[in-house]
Amino acid sequence: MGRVLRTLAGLLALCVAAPSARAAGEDVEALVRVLVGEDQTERYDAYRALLASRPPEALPLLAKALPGAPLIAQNYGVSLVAGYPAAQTKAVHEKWAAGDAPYLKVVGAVALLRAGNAKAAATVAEVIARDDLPPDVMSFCLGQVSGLKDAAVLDAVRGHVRSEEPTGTLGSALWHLANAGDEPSKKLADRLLGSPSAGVRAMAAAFLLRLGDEARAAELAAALGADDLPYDAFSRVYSLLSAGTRLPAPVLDALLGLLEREPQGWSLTLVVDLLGDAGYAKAAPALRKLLERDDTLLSKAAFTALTRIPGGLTPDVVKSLLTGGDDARRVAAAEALRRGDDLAGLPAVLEVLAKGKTSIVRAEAARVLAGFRVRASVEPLLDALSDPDVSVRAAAVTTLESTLRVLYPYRRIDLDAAGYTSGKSPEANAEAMRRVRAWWASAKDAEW
Amino acid sequence: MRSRWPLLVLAACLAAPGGARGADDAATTAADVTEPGRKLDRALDIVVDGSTRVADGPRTLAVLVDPTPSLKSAGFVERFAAALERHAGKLGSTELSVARVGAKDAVVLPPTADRKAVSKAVGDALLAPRNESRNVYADLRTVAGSLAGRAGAREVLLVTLENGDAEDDLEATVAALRRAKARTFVVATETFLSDSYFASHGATAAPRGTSWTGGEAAFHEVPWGWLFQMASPHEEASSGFPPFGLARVAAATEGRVFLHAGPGGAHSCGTYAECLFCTAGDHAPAGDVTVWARLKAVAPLVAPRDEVYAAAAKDPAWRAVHAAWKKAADAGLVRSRPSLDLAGGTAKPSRSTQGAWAPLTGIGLSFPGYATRASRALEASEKIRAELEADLSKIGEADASPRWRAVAELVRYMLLVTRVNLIEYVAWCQDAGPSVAGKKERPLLLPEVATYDDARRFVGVGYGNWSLCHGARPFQELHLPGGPALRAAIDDLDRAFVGLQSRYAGTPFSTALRRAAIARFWPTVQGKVVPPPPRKPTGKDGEDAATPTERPSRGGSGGSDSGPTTGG
Repeated sequence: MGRVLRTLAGLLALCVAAPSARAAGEDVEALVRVLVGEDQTERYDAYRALLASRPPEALPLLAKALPGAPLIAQNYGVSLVAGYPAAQTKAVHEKWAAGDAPYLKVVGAVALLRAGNAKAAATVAEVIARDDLPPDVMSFCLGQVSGLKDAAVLDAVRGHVRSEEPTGTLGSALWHLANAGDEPSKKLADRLLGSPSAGVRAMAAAFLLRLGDEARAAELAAALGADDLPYDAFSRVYSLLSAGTRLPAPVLDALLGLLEREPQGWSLTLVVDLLGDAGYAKAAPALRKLLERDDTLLSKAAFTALTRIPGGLTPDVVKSLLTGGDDARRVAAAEALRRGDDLAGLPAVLEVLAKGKTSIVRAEAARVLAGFRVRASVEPLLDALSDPDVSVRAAAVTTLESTLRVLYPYRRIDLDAAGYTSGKSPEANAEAMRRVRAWWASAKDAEW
Repeated sequence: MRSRWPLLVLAACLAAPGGARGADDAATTAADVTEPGRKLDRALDIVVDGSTRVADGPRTLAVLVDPTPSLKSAGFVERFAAALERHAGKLGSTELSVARVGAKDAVVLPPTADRKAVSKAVGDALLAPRNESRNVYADLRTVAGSLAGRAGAREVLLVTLENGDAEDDLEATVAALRRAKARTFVVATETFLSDSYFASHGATAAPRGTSWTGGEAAFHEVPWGWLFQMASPHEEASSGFPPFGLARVAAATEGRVFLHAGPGGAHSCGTYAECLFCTAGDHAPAGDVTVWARLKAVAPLVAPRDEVYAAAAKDPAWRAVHAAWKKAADAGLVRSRPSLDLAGGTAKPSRSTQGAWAPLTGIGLSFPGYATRASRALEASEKIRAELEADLSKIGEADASPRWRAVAELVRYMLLVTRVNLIEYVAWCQDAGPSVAGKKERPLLLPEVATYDDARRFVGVGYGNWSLCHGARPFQELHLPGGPALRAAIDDLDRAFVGLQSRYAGTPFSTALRRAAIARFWPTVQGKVVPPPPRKPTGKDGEDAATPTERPSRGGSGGSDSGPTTGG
């Protein structure tokens, strides 16, 4: 195993440095073995390596190895196979559709159906109609039928609109039927409104609301207000409602109630997202309280939601976020101000670009700087072209090119022509940087 | 919460319209007759339920529908049917008739109390909608005539989301409606600020027997076709009011206008102008949403046109605009001439409003010649601006109409924009232009490369636009030809932009400021001559392609899909 990992590490390094490198035959076998193995971390590394190189010899190996693999490995494998040309994958899909692994059977049949083989619909429907599959397998299967409006498939999916279905299965089925605009399912969903389970009632009401039945708003609001509403069910409700469904006031009030209650163990970002998407002004005070939370994902979601609410973020509130410990929030605040033509956040962005503790925030600062289009950003960007991290260099060069294009509309600047490539190390880019800085010295005070 | 404003106003108008001349008060503006809010259902609720206007007794409501795709997709058929059912209990002895704009016989269903028949007739009228320019006023007169002899109260509801700006005889229409004592309600969409689109773009023919009119105002108040602008800024600013003729018929008959707005779209910094400062269209300018109190202050008059012309002739702000416009036209700074002729204290429509730009671009690479002519245009522009500012400084706040003062400020602003563009152009012709066109050597240091490849053959000069949606200040960051003179001009423009935004935010004038543009220039290349496609034989001699009567789609900005902020 140690040898395999060392090989993997080498391959990964090779792939990062030179994405066009191909894995050697015996290493591809090893990677596929790891992919279908039991170790989740190694599986992910193997997936990344195969994704980067897509060796042709991997395809038959995957076709053979995946049917006996754990579900999550099958899912990675499906994703890998989808990246190969259709002419090469047809045989793989035919093999899977004829096999016994339910998820792969559906994947294969759906691929054939989408390629024009109408008979494959029966295979899809047959698997979906089963009631003996583990919930996670059925959820994955349902995830594959998105967009299919074949009558037999829809009928099979409708079979899972039952109160006793596991949450994941019911949620996936309703999501698919909602996307298909399936009117016959409404009666089935109606029946679920009397379920003793708050989660089932919530999902059913959300489904009906998504299909335009605004009279169900009260039922959804009541279910959202139930103390025993599980987070898992709510996440399915979120999926149903986040496709631009107009949320009536009682539902928004109920979501606000959830936000204020903060049920134990919940991630509130989904609640925040829905309130923001609705532009629900009443939620602004509660959202503002989240801006200073230690949970940066939640505070960022609150910030984004407030930018969508008219008057949600006053410039003063946003400016107060420019100082403070969280670099990502400072940069987000600066960008929000910039959208309203206030450049007060520029110093914060420049500071994060130069001194941000992680490459992620430095790269984000470089990206956000593109919106400012000011002379003061050029030198910090030139410095960032020599950042130790490739993602920061890549973001910096993109921003610098777009900024120079704006600042010098009567000139044409091409950093490639100077020999600069973000993928090369700062040392390798030294000569290119010398040229770029020499040009900047000559141009920075020029009239045009 | 539903506003009680309409109940109070409408309750005060229980007398049949046309009895008094109160509605023709020259001080009446479009704001007095436009209902706040932009929901079709609310408009239908107010009109269909006449119980607050007509205490008891018979009532006839004639519904005149202009069948356009936009009205159909607004769900008018369903909403109207629903409104009839909602108010069934209040319809009492109301009979409804249905008429269709553009039909050979406009009245397609005579008055009836049969709500289902009425709904069906409305649905039938919208079965095959077309995007077409139509004369709604002719059919309004027909409908008015059909109400003769009807007992009790008479009302007309005209629903037109696309037309109303092509008039044959507006005052005859008003007279016909008054003779019929028909209170007229209108559902329409807002037009563009003092819209001069059909004057500045000649391609679309007005319906037979009509002329295009100008937006929400009685005449074209704003100069159009400024030098180096690809579009006239006011033609892209939503006005907050319906076309003048529609407001006029409603005002003259003690009716109301309801604006309908479709789903709002994302903000756009310009239709023809590129925005240098936007990232993925994420600009969220402050002041882009209508503020009713401010909009009301700059609303246009809806009196008979002669009265509006007379008011304009006496208004010092409009007179200052007129003077500046005339001079700007003479100097070739605008492609239009004033829409009114002033003589003494009177005004009447001009016979010719077409002008031409000074020849500053086009075929030929005579950079020195262009620079010389542009310098002369710049001198003229500065003189005109100084004279306009002197005129405006003499006008007290209360001495002029707020609307015409706003127009004057917009003209002053456009002169400042023109100044920036001319200074830049003169400098471009002297240095940057010849350099990029290969007429002047300039050493290049990597990473700078040649703007164009050597193989190109340049034959002239053209221009494009950069949007001023973010104001003038961001342009200070750019390296533009013009040196200190340009920087000073941009500073002045920025000061004007900020000041005027502060004063006119929430009105279409604010939007118009943003839709103006800074010009950019480039050498043009030889075009490729492509012969036109062979004409297909038609079997008819001398058949020319018909001038299109379809309404053109317009780009615009400002306003709000929820309309003014009062009302429901």
